[in-house]
Amino acid sequence: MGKYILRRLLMMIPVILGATLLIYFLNFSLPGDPLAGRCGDRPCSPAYEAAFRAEYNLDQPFIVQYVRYLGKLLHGDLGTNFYGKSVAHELAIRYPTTVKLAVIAITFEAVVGVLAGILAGIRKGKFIDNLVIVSTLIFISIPVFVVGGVSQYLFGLKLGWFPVTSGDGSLEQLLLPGLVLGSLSVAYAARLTRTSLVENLRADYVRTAKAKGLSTARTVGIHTLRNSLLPVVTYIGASFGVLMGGAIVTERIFNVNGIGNFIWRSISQRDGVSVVGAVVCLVIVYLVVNLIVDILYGVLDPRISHD
Amino acid sequence: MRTPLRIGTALVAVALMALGTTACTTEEPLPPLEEGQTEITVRGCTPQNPMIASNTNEVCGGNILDASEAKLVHYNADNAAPELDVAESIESPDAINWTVKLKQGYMYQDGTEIKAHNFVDTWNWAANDNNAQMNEFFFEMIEGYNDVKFTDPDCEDDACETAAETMSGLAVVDDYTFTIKTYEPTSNLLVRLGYTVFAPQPDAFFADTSAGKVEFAQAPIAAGPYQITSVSDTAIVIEKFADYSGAYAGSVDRIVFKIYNDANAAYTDVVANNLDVTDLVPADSLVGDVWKTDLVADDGSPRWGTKATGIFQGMTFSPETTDPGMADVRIRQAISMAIDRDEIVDVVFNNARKAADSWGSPVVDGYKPGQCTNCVFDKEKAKELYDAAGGYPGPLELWVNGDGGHEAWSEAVCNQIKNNLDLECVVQTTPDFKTLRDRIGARELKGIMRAGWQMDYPSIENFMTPLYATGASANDGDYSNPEFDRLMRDAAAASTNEQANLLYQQAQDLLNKDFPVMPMWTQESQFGYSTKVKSIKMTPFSTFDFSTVELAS
Repeated sequence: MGKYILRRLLMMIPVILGATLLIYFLNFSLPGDPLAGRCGDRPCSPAYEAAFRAEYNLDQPFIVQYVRYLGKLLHGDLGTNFYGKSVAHELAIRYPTTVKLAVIAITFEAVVGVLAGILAGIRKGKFIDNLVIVSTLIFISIPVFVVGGVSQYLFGLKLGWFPVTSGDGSLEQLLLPGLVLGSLSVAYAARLTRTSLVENLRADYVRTAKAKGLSTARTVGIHTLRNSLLPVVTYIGASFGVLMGGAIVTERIFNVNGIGNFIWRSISQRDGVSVVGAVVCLVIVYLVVNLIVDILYGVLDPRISHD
Repeated sequence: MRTPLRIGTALVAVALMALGTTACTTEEPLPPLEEGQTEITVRGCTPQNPMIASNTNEVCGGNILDASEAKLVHYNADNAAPELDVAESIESPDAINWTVKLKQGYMYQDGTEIKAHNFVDTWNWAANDNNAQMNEFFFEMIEGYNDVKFTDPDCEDDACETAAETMSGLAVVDDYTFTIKTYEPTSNLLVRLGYTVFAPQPDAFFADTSAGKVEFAQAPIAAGPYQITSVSDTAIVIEKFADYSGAYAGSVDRIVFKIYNDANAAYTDVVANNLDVTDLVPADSLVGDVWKTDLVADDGSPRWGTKATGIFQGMTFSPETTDPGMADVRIRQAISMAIDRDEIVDVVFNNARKAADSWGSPVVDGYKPGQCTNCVFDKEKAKELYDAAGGYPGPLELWVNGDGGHEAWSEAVCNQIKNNLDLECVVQTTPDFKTLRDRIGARELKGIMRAGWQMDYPSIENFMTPLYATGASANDGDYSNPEFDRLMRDAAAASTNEQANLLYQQAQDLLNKDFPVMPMWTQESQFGYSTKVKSIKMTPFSTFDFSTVELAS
């Protein structure tokens, strides 16, 4: 197990390097100029422009900029953004909020999604099954910014059940954004659980278990569910990336002071240093979460061994 | 033996996930208000730069500094007329040599007094290229400004040098008097001095040795009605300065600028009474005047307002040397007359703009409506003029920047030109504003080009000299008329404001005749407030006047 984790951690290094190179390059080749619009409806003075370009290495060719950035990154320095603040600090203060949001979304996804999937699976073709199928279809087909905007208007503004926006990031304020963020993944998780469960319920070992006289609860709850959850867990891990992308939209709608909002602001300000730093962090989080998921496989299915 | 191990692994995994949430650092909450104190929350955004007036030109930092800085001249919140604040008098016999006398005993928030050297030192520091301040151009009329610019504008890192350290046009006479000498006669100097970039920095500013004065900017000290007391990533707090010396004291004890990255979120919060004031109403709420029904108090009174601001939008005709098809003035006039500005303002802008009929903004001194007779929609006359001039070798290109939300109105303008003149018109976009400026600067663009102008100071002159004087920095159409230049010079040297304004209006008649730029619209700002606020005024600069806020009891 230890060896496996070590191997996976070592594998992260080339992935992170590749990711930074790619993001840095994409960011570098964006049309337009970081100085665009910085001085309002007039060009910046030559002295200001020269000082700004020198400070952020913008006057250097791409490869020099990248190597300098990488050199700093190796020392754990994510650089200084166009607001003159340390990117590492900016991320550190926002990270807890986004993690809270993601945990709410994932909990929602895992609990509600899996439960709905089980209900639909064991009552295949009945009302509850159709209800799950139709309602998940709605969430899958509506983009997250519509779900966000509508639920903010409906549950926040009109009904007053939730705070309209989140200022300081308390759990109560993050609840609605978290649910919105998880709404797409919850639909997929439910459908995945249902399909997987339905398939497994037809398997030979289930028939054997039933013939042996095991109760339905035990057949489904212990034997079938464990096998059915494997693809769901894989999906939940992978959906973490989708959540991070969705967080950019959700956090903006609900004014959550998290990584997503930060990335959005940085992109719109062409603050390349911030974008690269934030995305690199997301890549690392994504890799770690997927490592955790892979370790969890062993718990669900003892046949899968990492030794 | 396997089961406990597996459960252990699962627990480790879950603990890892939870680590982030528990390691959370909560920000310190604001101290509670004392009995009888008042507070409002206002939409804010993250300042792009350290909070130094000479390096702040966006609203996020600007709105804060506007409330915290005391200036020589204060702009009236209703009509932007200049009123003396720190200055006792600003006088000149010839509009070139100016003497500024300061009020005595005007105190900074750290207990020191504003003296003449604070002004002179601040201006010299801000104008000097070695300090690379964004707003250095505000000082360009002061004699010696050119000497504090780098001798080689494209200087490489170390070869940057300025001919002088300070501007020769500034001199301290005594503690409360200093003199300004301008290059050219500048009769409206007083009007210019009200911008925050001219606010004096205290001695503590100059004592700060950090690069770019960033340490000072963490907790800036100024002499205005409000003091910046806390800056965090979710809020910027300013509190009433108890010993404020001026005449524009704040009416609310504490103002919290809550940080929003999105206008919609702030607006929704104001509708829900979670935020007290927003200066942005999102475009989709303007459609069908939805915002006016959203923002209604329980007693039916409105909790919204609008204010004309000093932003002028026009279209520049490509200069003759680049686009010979534009040489005939009748073509230019025909294009202008073929546009129904009122319709576009209504349909595309939902009345957040006003059709322009003059070169300037209605908020400034010297503005006269109806100067542009070619701005009146008249498609028959337009077609007549167009045909008489022999037409334009189309298609006509309309250039805008793609990052400013200009697509809708430019398409509308193009369609009107197409329908009314039978002239093929295409909208061309550049990726961003800077590319548009660069290509206009290189005189590459044919057809018509967007020209926006936000005033630097509330005078009609600011909408004319920088845009239409021969060789001026923003004269994109290469307009040149010796008569116009003469009127600009005469007006700048005029002894009274009224006389100057008459000359500016005469110059606008020339613009109407020569027509290098067609006025399109001027801007209006919308704002909304919560039921906690009884009344609040927006200034012509789109900031709020915090000295007259009334709260509902």
